[in-house]
Amino acid sequence: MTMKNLFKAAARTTVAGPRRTASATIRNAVATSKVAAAWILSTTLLTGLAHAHHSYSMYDGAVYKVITGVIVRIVPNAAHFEMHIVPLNEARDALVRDESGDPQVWVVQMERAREAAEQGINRETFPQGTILSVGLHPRRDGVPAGDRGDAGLYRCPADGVPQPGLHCDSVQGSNSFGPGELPQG
Amino acid sequence: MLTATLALVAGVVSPVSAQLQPPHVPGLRGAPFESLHPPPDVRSHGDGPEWDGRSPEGIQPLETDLFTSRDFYLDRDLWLDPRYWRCNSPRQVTDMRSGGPGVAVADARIGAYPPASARWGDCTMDWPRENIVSPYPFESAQAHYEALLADAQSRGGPTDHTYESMPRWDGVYSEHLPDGRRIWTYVRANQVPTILSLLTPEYRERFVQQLYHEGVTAAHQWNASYCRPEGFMRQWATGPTPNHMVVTPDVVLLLGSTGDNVSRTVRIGREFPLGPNVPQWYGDTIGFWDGDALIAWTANVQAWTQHTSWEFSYELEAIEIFTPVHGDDGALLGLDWETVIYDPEALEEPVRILWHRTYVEGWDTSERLTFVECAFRYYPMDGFATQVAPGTVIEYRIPDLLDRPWAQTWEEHFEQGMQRPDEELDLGFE
Repeated sequence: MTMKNLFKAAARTTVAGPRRTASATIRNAVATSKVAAAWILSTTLLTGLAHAHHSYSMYDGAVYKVITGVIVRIVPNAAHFEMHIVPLNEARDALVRDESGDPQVWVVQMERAREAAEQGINRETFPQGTILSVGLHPRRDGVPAGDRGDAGLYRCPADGVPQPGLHCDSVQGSNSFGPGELPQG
Repeated sequence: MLTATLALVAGVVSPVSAQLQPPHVPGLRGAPFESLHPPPDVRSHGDGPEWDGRSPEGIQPLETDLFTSRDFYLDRDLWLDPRYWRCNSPRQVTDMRSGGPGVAVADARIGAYPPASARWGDCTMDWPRENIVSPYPFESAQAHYEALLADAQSRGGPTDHTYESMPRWDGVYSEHLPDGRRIWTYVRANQVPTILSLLTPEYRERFVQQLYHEGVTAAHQWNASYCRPEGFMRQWATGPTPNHMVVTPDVVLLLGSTGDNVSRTVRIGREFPLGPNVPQWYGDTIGFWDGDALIAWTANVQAWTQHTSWEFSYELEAIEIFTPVHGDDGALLGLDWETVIYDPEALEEPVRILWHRTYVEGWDTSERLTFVECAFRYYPMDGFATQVAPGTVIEYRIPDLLDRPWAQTWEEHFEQGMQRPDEELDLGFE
């Protein structure tokens, strides 16, 4: 049973209350909810592992990280939608760069492209240069990549950049795409 | 437009034959061609080493052409002169060092001291551009489809076929090649400037870049080499042509596989969208029956390339009309397949293709339809597609799949110092 599935199981059982509170509830539920684990096990047996075609062991399911950055490209792969993002620095006034000075591109994986499309995530809504914030389980090996899991995704308005240290959900006029909130640090 | 210094000769009026004569509905479909169709390939001006770099009599070569250029980007003003290409068709440029796909040759047309010794094509041959651009008045596939639908409705259509009444097209088809002639999208029948004249400036430059690297640097980045998808437009060339059909009242399947698979479904009586807004490698297709003609509209296509020909954009949409051709005994000879490509981002105006697929046999006797699972055979090594033996350790730069990975390879390895238009990534931050 992966942590990712546990998140989903818990999410289905947590429907009341403010969204940010629900997100915290999700995280707390992960470690303790044997009920949820049993529920997802039975659900999985019934529905099959329709999306399971690679392991998620490379992602640290115990950690949620939030990236606020700029879209380079979205890649609507059928099996796993990807966002290629260059993070902004903490001051939110420059791109994060690698040792050679090139923009450091993070690859954020999601589930199927059709699910992203159903959440309104596409080439038109996330053109190159769009500022967004997304939560992800980072890779365990430190490679700049991760899996969105059930984390939220916020798009800053066209003329809006978050204040230092903050994310798009703090910017008036931002939009949320899909379920979930940005994990709290 | 084309430089008028060279005499370009059109073909002759097409002979009467059952194939490639679909019903003509003026302004909508089936418009006849004024020239021999399919067109003949542009010939080589001469074969053998004595023709290395030797221009045809009466033709004044350019001081700089594709094969002597140090930077093709600086030659923009010459691109529309057939002499810049030594009067070779796009396919001839591509095959300068081979006999075509899968054929190695001892006497390559690039000559003994490449690339300057590249041989010339026949400057008198070029299929008229008027045969290529759409003869229909529509600016969008949607308008064309709606007009075709309205026409069918005016005659009581669209036809609501049942299993009993529907055309029996199920089976396997081959390519119709009268005297070995192919449709123009094989880009064998035209001077390069004629094809370039169809394209918008951005896509014209992309096409020139491709031809330079296929003809001069010989760094062909064909999709199948790297197990990349072939893309929508490859159906009208050598490649994964949909040569198998399954027809039901609700859906028509177009299937095929060679180096890669093509799988298309024409959803009868449906409307767009057919699903979430995710571009599809072969698009989404809806259609209707007008008697025994199948009329289809494809949209939501993944932008991509086809080697040796032009790149296409997300704006590409297509209208296709399939009409059966029967022999005197009523037997199905094949299908005329007319296609109008609308792509306002890549094309200056819509273009038309009329192909014929010859019926071969039914599913009851045909061989298997292989589903191709591509396994890597080639890797880009120093910019060239290269076989790599197991155990070999190589340096491999991950391409950005949706940012013209073929061009990334060319620009990294072969365009250092060229005056390529600035395309630096600008994300709005330092």
